[in-house]
Amino acid sequence: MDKVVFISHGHPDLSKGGAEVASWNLYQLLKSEGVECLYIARADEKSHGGSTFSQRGDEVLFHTKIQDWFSLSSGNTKALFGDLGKLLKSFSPDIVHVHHYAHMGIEIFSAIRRAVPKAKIVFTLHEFMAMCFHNGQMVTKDKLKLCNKAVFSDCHGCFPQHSPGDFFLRKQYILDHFSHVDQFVSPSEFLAERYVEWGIPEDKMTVLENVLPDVEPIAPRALSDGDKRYRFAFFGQINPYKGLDLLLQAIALLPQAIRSKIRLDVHGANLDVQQSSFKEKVTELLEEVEDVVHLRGQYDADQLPSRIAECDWVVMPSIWWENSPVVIQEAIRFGRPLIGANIGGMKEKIEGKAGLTFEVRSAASLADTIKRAIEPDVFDHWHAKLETYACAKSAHLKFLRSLV
Amino acid sequence: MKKVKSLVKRLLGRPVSEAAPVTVDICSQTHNGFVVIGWYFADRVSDVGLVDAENAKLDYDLTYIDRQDVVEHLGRPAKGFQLLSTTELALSDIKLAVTLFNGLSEYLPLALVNADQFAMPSGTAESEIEITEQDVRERASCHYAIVTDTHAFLSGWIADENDTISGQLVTKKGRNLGHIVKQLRVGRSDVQDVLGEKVKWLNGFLVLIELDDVKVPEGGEIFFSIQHASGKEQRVAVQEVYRAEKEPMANLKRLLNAWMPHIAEHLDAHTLFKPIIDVLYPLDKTTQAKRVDVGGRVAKPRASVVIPLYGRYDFMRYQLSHFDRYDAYADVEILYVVDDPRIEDKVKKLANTLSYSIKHPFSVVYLKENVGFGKANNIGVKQASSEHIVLLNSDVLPKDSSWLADMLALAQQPQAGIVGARLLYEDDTIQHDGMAPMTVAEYPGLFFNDHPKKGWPKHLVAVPEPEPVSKMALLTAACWVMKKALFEEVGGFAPEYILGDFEDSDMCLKVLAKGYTNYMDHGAELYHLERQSQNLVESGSWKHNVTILNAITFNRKWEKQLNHLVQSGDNHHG
Repeated sequence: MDKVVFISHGHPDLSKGGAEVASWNLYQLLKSEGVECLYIARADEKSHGGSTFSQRGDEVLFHTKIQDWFSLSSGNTKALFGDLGKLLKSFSPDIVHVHHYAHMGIEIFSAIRRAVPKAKIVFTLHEFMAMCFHNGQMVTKDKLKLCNKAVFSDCHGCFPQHSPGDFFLRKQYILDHFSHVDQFVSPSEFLAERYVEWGIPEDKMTVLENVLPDVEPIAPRALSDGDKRYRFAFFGQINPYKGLDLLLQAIALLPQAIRSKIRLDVHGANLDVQQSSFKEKVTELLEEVEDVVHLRGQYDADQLPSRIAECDWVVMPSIWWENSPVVIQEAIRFGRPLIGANIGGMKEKIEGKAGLTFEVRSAASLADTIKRAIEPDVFDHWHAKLETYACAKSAHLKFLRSLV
Repeated sequence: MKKVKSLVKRLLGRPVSEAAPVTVDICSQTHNGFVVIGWYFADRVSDVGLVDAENAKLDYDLTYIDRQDVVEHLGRPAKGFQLLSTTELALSDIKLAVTLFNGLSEYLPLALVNADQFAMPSGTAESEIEITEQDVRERASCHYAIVTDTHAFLSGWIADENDTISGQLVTKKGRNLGHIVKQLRVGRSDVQDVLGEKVKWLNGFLVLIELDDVKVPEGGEIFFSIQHASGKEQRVAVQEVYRAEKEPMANLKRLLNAWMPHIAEHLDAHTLFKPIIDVLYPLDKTTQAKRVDVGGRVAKPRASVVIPLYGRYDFMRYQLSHFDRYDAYADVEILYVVDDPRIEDKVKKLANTLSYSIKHPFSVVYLKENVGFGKANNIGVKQASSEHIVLLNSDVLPKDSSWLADMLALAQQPQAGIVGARLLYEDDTIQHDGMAPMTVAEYPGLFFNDHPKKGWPKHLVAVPEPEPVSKMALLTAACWVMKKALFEEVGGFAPEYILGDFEDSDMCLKVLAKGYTNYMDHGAELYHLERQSQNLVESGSWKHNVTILNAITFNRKWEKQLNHLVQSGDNHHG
């Protein structure tokens, strides 16, 4: 492995989603191993003189867009097959590691294959976008019910304007382009199984956890006499899928004796851009539990250690499946056990390993779990387990070296 | 309005949702657009309308309907509405725009709702043509004439006493233009509604006039001069005069929309339309074809795939992606035939986008005019440079690349005629596994094409062993393989079917008549995302009527062979 190209749908300086951060961490790891790397991040369409590429730091920005979010097809095949193709050919990598096709087009895999036919194409899956038109959530559109399988007629139920046949075409089109990928990487077993069941060959699927930068564990918060593990923290976007509303409801259900001692810090933003009904609901709930909740707002990566140090437990109340949320990995690495919903990636990463799970979408179950979690011996039990955590770095290196 | 009210009556008692500000009871296709019927809470919604994908307002007629039933049921002010839009947009590109009293607008996607409940009135008679005060005074009306060099077709009504009309077509000055050669009296409840029950039911008329060696003057007024039983002559002004050849499709609709072939008298009168149809769709109609090659041409192709495009063109992206994926297609020529000038620019743009992403060469043949499925294929086959042709519909997508070699091997055998494929819906149920003649109760004596076992899970439909092949007389042209020479030997698809219907079974019978054998390859699986229901029983539209006319043509031509097929059971499924 001499030369690796990373392709991400955003630059972490500009957009801090899970996929961008995961690709960035792997990029840093390979650079530190002496591998020659080129990081290409998609950026919006505007560029100097209309050029396809520009630069930010050492990274190349790729200015393009998706034309049709239904078929995920590119609005600029010339940029993809022409300009990006030439850049790849000239760099001549032996591995191209794609961390998303969003905003660029699913045809990116064909474009890479055509430009550098001998290079291995690795694609890391981050959610269900290929199989679920509802933002890749596998949650129904109107009622937000959990969806177990993408069945064309059910997809048509979520999106009546597209026929079941349209969803069939969408899937075939995506699989046509996925056929150029040599290896798919999934950060969770759960996501891998779903994609294999959907149509990706099992022998092309590898499960590898996302890479995180090295961090030092932070000692648990010191307790004074009679104090318990009362401090909880929520990290993430405030949107209907991340379940902050459920967490606030759970707090409202707690007995007054506990509630008066508990504190919840909410580290996240974007409530203002949500739909009005959700915004109203969360605002009302926040008023109801204002004695308990502190809104801390958005944070930068370097603020994370100090913010996480303040809490005992990290809560992940998502109502969708999740894959392998960076928050879970970060909490584990900093030495904070978690409370998460008992489905999908949360169940896989937390249950029996890193903390407690509760019945998904049940505020009562979450409230009961919080009651258990405040007991110091429960905290100590799970905190002790976190120390056995193994980093995915060497697994990634081994995997990539095995390809070439 | 009457129609709408009676529909609403049928909808009473339907459970009503209290949560949504707007409820759509019916959303259905009409012969030239869509109709949306529903109601809204009048204390939340100030207005409704239709917009396109970019939220731009569409042309539509809005009629308000009293919905006392909703008011009583929910105890809130509610208003019913009917939106009628003439548009060529697909339903997926149309949204219901709802203006709320709080100033916000909501745009709701539309889907077909209770579409089966909306039987669009079969004639222009009731749906489009209003009865004016002058009509009431004259007790007659002639809505339009469709004229050719030799004939004129008239549609209208008269409150007369005669079973048949005697009369002539005349100019303003009273000069005779032509005389009646065929006619059909039609029931018109809308006329009865306005003039009263004493007016006879069969007051409508469809009349074919033969012109007396004169042409109908362009732009001049013409009249239908009708003799009453009393001997009195009444002149009825022809309100619109359409030259037949100017807008074939629109005139075809005008010609057939009041015809009700499920009534025996109507079915018998089918020859009334022929002289006009012969001008709308001349048998020898040709058009200019321009071929554009994208990425060059395949040298010495093993097969040429011919795919006509009409209306929806985005399938091209999915099909070409498929052909580009598999090496098995490397020596296959792909020819699209754009049989729809309206989509030419869009196809050009898509072809340009695909020219970068698709490595496999493909060609697009643009036709200057719409010629219909059969003729479009005939033009496409002429362009094919392989000895073997594959006819493929644009909404067919192969499962993988294995079908082609198997079907080609069969088609290459000297005595082989046409080779068909097993076509599946996206849920792996049968769309086509061979066709068989069938009769329907409404049209005794006419054979239609049946798809036996349509909708069955495919594992419940046996595949012959060891070879998955059976002899099959009738096959759909949605996907078939044959020698180009054979296609030419039988003269290509017959031109006498209007718009596209029965050409495939017609060619199957032509091939059998030459002594070849047609085969069904049950092992060749492709998906056919058949979009439009081709259910014959849904009567009442001009398109249905076109099918009936084509069925008559088909049955006259092949009566003996079809009866033989049915009696011998040769075409039947196990």
